Amino acid sequence: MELEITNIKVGVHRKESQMSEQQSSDPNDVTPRWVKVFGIIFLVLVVLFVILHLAGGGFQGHMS
Amino acid sequence: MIMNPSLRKFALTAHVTFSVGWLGSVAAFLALAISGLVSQNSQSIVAYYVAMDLITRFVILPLCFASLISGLVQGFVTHWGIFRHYWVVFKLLISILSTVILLVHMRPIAFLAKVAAEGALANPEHRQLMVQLVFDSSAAIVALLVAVGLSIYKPQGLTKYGRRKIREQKAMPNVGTRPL
Repeated sequence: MELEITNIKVGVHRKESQMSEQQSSDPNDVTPRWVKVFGIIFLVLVVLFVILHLAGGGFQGHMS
Repeated sequence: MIMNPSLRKFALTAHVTFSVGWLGSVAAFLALAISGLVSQNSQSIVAYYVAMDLITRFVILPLCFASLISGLVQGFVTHWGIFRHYWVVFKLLISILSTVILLVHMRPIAFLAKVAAEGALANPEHRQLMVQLVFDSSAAIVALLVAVGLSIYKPQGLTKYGRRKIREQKAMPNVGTRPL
């Protein structure tokens, strides 16, 4: 009996938390997946550029 | 900033022209870079690298800065802003990174044109540099195509700053003059 009540309480708590999540899940508040993908690609390209050109592997060696 | 609609359209036309012109001039550069790499005719090679140097200095570089500046103007005079939407931020980042890479390449391109004019492009290190120019201009074309795609599709997504601006405008509906 006590277990059933606990389960009901947990169920009610879950429903409340789901409702509050739905209320706050404004689509504008979420960072879209494409932004994360683009961000990672951009960071990788910047790091590659720095490694290739500024850390000694770039053009400097060719023009002396 | 408030701007006359016809002036705003003119600014947009200028931005599109500069940006697409930038893309086209890099494509022309790539064609010359590939031709310079595969050609066996020494006179043609000189012509290719001298032309690449001229295109870089007098076409690509001015279009690059014109595109960047006109893009910033667009951000200031339209409701899109500069830091409100992720697609605008990414376009700005692509433009800045491409400009930096272009500036880094100015010297080696001029160097190759000079060496080609002297008829001394046989060095393997020069060959490596020629290959690198093909690779880098191809990468620039991909980056600029992504920027064009972002401009056309305008994928959704507000930055934190953009969300805050929306909340501020919702809180004061009569004050905001730039709807999001």
